Amino acid sequence: MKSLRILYHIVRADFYERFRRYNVLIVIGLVIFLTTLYLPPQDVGRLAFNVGGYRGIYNSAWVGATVTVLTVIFMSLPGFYLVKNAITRDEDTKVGQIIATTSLSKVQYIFGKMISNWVFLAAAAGVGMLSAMGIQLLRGESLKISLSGYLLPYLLITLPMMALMAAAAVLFESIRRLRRGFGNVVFFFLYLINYWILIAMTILLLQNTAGVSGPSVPLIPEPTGALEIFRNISAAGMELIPGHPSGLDLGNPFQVYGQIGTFVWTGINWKASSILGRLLWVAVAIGIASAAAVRFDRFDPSSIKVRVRNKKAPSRSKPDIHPAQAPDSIRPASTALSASVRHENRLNSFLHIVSSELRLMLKGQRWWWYAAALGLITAAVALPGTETRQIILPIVFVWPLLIWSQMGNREIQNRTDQLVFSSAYPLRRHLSASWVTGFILTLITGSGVIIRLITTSSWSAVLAVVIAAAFIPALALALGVWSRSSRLFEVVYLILWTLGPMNRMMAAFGFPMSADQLPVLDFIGSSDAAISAGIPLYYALFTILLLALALIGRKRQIQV
Amino acid sequence: MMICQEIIMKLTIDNVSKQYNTGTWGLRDFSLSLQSGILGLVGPNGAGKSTLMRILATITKPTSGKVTFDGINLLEDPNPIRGILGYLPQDFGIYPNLNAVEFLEYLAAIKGLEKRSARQRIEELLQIVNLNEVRKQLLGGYSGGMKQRIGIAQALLNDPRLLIVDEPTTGLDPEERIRFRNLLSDLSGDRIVILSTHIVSDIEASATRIAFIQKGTLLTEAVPEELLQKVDGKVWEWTIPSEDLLLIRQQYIVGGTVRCPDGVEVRILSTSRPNVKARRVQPRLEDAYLYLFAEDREGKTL
Repeated sequence: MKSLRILYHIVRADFYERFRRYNVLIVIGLVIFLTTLYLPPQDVGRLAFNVGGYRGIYNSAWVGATVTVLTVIFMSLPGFYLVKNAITRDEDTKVGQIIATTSLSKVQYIFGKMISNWVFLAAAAGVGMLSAMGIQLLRGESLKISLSGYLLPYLLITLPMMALMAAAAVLFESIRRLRRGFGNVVFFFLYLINYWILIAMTILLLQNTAGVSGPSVPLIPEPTGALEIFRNISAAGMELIPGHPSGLDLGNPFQVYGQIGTFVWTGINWKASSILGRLLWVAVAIGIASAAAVRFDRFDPSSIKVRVRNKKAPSRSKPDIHPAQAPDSIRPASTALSASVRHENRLNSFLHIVSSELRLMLKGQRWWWYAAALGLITAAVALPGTETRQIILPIVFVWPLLIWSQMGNREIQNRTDQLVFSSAYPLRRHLSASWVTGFILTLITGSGVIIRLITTSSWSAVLAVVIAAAFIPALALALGVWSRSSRLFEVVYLILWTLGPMNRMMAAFGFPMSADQLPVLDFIGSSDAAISAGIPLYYALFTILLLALALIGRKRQIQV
Repeated sequence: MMICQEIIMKLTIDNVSKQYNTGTWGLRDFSLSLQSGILGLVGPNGAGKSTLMRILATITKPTSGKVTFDGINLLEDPNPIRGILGYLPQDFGIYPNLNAVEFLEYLAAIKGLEKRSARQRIEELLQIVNLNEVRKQLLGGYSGGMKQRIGIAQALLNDPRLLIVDEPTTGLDPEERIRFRNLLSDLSGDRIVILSTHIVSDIEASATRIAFIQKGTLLTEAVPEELLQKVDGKVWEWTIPSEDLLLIRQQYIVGGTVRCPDGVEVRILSTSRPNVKARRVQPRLEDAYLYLFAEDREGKTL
């Protein structure tokens, strides 16, 4: 009983803390926007989720399934990043140190945090479901609200997926290496792999449904649960739609298709094995949270590894200098200070800041980061031009991700903002120097590619790379300044990079995904299609826009 | 534009108010005029000291009012002031992967200092704050007091004409506090130093003027002697039995108690002799502080 009360209070405190922040409104707004977008009115001729160009009429089953697929595929990733701050917040606010001195066990704390993550994600998804009900009535194709059409997919598909996200978030926070930027990147790629598995399984499923010979869909359930919906809808499509199409498409809600066919889908035919399969993921989530409880260090600062640079220095854990060993104190001001210090002229001062910023950016990187960066530069020069552009270039433009993501928010994250912003010309001198430093760093890491492109006289590709080197730090700076955190850039940039450059790279390796579908996102100009379409020039314009945004944001920060 | 250092400096705070987004007032119609010397800004927690400090350090914009330094309006043109400003915030961070020298070099660059003279200055400052021995160790491993000393060093980097230090002795041990006060006294000659604290002893010896602030308004501003005159003849000490202490606390503003073999020696504020055994003693600034700020003074003899 006492444990339940403790859990309740942990969940309640976190829930209030999160729901009283304005970004929860952004999440809810996004859920409602996506739901509206994916349930377009009949008369506009747009089509989203469909089977061979046909969609279900907007009854509770179809609308409930659509919003469920949207939630588990599109909202679970941002959902993870939104809740991956419960333990970090306790650490940053030092509340964790108070919690650590109470009788609360690690298991109670971690499960409390996991449940509070789950409750938050479930509530956001619930808002999506409620808005979907409203949209069903608004579209007016079926005015009968069937609770099972909404509730069953919510309970059996959405909630287990959200439990997984909630548990993964506490696990990532319990492992110090995964607690911040590096963990964000690792999770993104895990999610991407899971997404590819889902696509592969869906392709197999459609082949099975159409009777094409080949391997059957494995019986192991996949975590999102979307396949369960796809399986039911494609089977119904084969049965109900003229011509018996088997194609299943998440669709493009921005494309106008003209006349759209409809069919009546009555919902998922739930079998005991499917339900057990979904419950299995809740058990997996509990397992992940248990692993997190084992790894959780209970806010022990001694578990933070501080790197020893000077081998002669004593080995350290934080605090590495015991107060008793610390140098005595401030000296009686017997040591006279020199009369005055000189100020530099504008140009020297700017260059001085750029070199200092560059040192700050690169400080703390491990040897292997430099080794890999050097390896990429060498490989870019050594490999043939095509491989350099299609394979090395995309990697070069993701390798410094965690350095870029510090831009614009390093001062807030390290609480040096008052020191930096009270210095002269924080906009003209410091902000612009920050961007120039990011630009130089990107050019340095991309220097191998640039040299290779110059040797092949691919001047337009060189220009595209230089524009990308300007665009990325501008994006980092703008998102960092406005979000006051590194996370937004990490997520936004990884999505952009995956849809653009990485798609191209995977296509070069023969993966069945066409980069040419989205040349607009090829911001590094890795394809001729993007360059001939003038895409880099759009990114040059974006760069200016983003710099202006960063400037406005910083101006607001400096004098509030 | 840099401000000429030879002219007499004058900082004028004119009817400054600050209302936060929550609707609460951090400052209300605050006015003060300062020249060279140390101003001790004293007030209880939440009085508005840090709000005023941040406004003077050009970090926060006031809702209304005007601040000028030698005739230059801080709100319209903050950069000339930033060039001659040294600021130690109450709560600040460091870059954990830099060592002391690198951190100070970085801030020297941000402050626009010439490289060579900045290096010399950093050497001197590291000696003064006694962090020379650990200059090459990463700041992430520093103790709270050492971080505070790095903060003090960065505030003095540009030889500031206007030095603003907000609760500077937080995290320093008693000996460090005394030495920091002495350092400020040494530095205060031809500059304006504003030191905010709620520990009266921090400014007792060093402040040339003292401003008492409460609920965002200026209660009084004077030289220490004037403040002491306000409580002159009102401070009493005598020894009472331990069991009478509660009653005394209910009747008077108690400035201090000391255990002694025959009971408790109490120090109280009262306009009349509270007890036949009570003897009048020299007032201290803490007595003036209590006299002005005691919130539970209702029903007590003064």
